[in-house]
Formats: sequence, C-alpha cells, structure tokens
Amino acid sequence: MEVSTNVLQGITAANNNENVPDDCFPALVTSACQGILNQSPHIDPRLRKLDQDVLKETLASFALFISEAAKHDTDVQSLMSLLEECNFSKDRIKTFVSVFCKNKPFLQTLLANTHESLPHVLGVKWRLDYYIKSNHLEKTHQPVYLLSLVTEIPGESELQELNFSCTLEQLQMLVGKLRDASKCVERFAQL
Amino acid sequence: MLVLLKDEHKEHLKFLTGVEVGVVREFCRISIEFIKNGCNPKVYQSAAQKLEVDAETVQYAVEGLMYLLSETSKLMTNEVDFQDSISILGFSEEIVQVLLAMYLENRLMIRNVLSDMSMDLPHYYDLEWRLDVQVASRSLRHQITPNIVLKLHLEEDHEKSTHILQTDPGNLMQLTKELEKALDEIKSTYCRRIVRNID
Repeated sequence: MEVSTNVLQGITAANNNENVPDDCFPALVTSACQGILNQSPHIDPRLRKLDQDVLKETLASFALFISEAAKHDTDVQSLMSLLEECNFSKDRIKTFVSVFCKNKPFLQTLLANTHESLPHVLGVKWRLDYYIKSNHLEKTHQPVYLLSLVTEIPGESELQELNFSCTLEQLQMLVGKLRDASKCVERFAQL
Repeated sequence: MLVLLKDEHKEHLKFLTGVEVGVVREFCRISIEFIKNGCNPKVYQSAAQKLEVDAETVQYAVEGLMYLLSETSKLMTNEVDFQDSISILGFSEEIVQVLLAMYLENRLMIRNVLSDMSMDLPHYYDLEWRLDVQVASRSLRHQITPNIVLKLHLEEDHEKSTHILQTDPGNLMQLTKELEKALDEIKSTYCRRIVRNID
C-alpha cells in the first residue's frame, strides 16, 4: 500500500495532542470511517471544539488512508508500522486498529460494489399465453411465453426490464443453457 | 371451415373454368410463386399473349387463385370444405383435384408466409454464457467475485439484436428454477384442459 506525502502529513497532524486531544482521536477515526460508509459528512459533536482547518485536513487524510488500507486489504502489522513511523502512541495505534478492523468488512463491501458493471440480472417475470389466431393466420394454437428480465444498472436507482417472447421450444433451449451454466458454477464452487 | 367467395372474386376465377387443365396447373404454379416471392407483372403479359386474352384477365385469375389459396390456408380449411368452397365456381372434377392437390401441397408454406407477416415480438434467438471471477477492481483488490456474463441474442422482424448482461450464482439458480416452473406450467392439468378446449 502506497500513501502520498500529503496523506502522511495529514495523519501526522492528528498526532499532535494540541491539534487533536486524546479524547477526540477515537471520534476522528470513527467519523472518517462513517464518512466513507454513509457517503455524507458525519461529524461527531466531540470534534466541534477542534480547529476547523485541522479537522478538515485530518479527517480527509484518515478517510484516504482508511480507504486505501481497505482497498489493498493491508494487514494490521503493516498498518501499525506505518503509524509507528508517524510517531503515534501505542494507545492511538490500538484505537485506530480496533476502529478500522470493526469497519473493514463494511468498507470492503462498499468498495466491492463501487465499480462499473453490466446490467445485472436480479430476476425474471414470466407470463404464459396461448396464441390462438391473428389477423393473418387462424388456428395458430401454440403457447407463447413472455419474459421480462429484471436488471439493475449500478448507479441507477430504477430497475430496468428486458422484454422478449419465447415459443415453448425456445424456452426449453434457454432453460437448457441456463442449466448448463448453473451446473458449471456448482462444479466450480466445489473445487 | 368454408370460405365464402365474393361475386367479384368468382368472376375473376371464372376464366379458369374455360381453359385446359395444363393451363390451370401453370396458373397455380405462378400463384404459389407470387405468394412466395412477390408478384412479377411481366408474367401476366407473356401468359396473356400465349392464351390470346387480356393481360388483365390473367392478372385477375392469378390474383383470384392467390386469394383463394391464402384464405383457405389462413383458415386451415380441410379437404372436404375446400372442395365445397370452390364447388360453386363450376370447375370440372379434374381441375378441382388439381386445385386441391396444389392447396394441400403448399398449405404449410403459405401458413409460414402468413406467419411471417403476423405481428412479431422481439423473441429469443440464442444465449451465450461465460463464467468469470472478478479478482480486482480499481476500488478493491484481492476479490473473488463470481460473475456469469450472458449474451442474449433476440430477433424481431428478421433483425437480430444482442444484449450483454451479467448475474451472480444465486440469481442464476433462481432464474433457472423460475423458468423451469414456467416450462412445467404448460404441462399442468389446468393448461392442458384449456388447450384441449381451444383445439
């Protein structure tokens, strides 16, 4: 994991007891985590007494530091040595590690979902019709399935639907292929 | 089901009662050809010259036959009804047999042409799938996220379109199960009863 000098400076600034007193440090780290998770600035009331410029700098630096650590799945030992290099006390390091470890699974879930993706199929709606006749043709007499694949596109709040029809034979072919894919996934999961 | 011919239509087909069987056979061949591939007016002219009649008479007779064949095919008229429907035109027994044979031989082809003309919805054509495992992204390294990428080919009015989608194992199983249920439904007692009553 690589951390820029700006971030290291910001973190080091938080190590100054005058900038961030001991009782504010846990709230600072928690707020940085919550800021990422809630995607909205959530400032702990205990941090209000801090200098606003210092608060901005330290909060932003910790948020970057935490998201990089979650992104690279950095181990606790490396995080501790990084903080030791910035002269953090043992207590502060312990506090950071405990808050970070508690939030790491949520942070990584959020990061896993933060990516471009193809429309993701969430389910299917189906309807079975029996086609009797049309203006061009009588006695057609065949089943027709109307399918609607419900898909989600990341970043869009509304679900989309892809509609198409299938004859019985076409649906049998479609299901056959989906079964093959399911079996392949099951076999792969057993490896 | 009997086909009721209009007076105008009967008038057009009347021409065929006064010609030889070979001519009727040729007219049938032309009508079938036109239903399959569209009309070619030049044919009317050359046939008219050979038979020494107006091109219009030939055109009406061919169009009359095309109408007769497409209506009877549309209704899936059976042999007896077909003969009864044209009995009013006064054809000789030989010509009736030629027309009947031509109808029975080409009925399915004509129904396919009619079915092509019917309203077409985007329908399934093919599905390709691929199993991927996402191992890293810009925002998160060290992942192991299985993805099933699907390429769905649809067709509408002979034009194909493709849709690229993806899903996860859980949703794939669910999707498969749900569509299996849909397939089973057509075999249910209820559906079979409905189908039996309609047929």
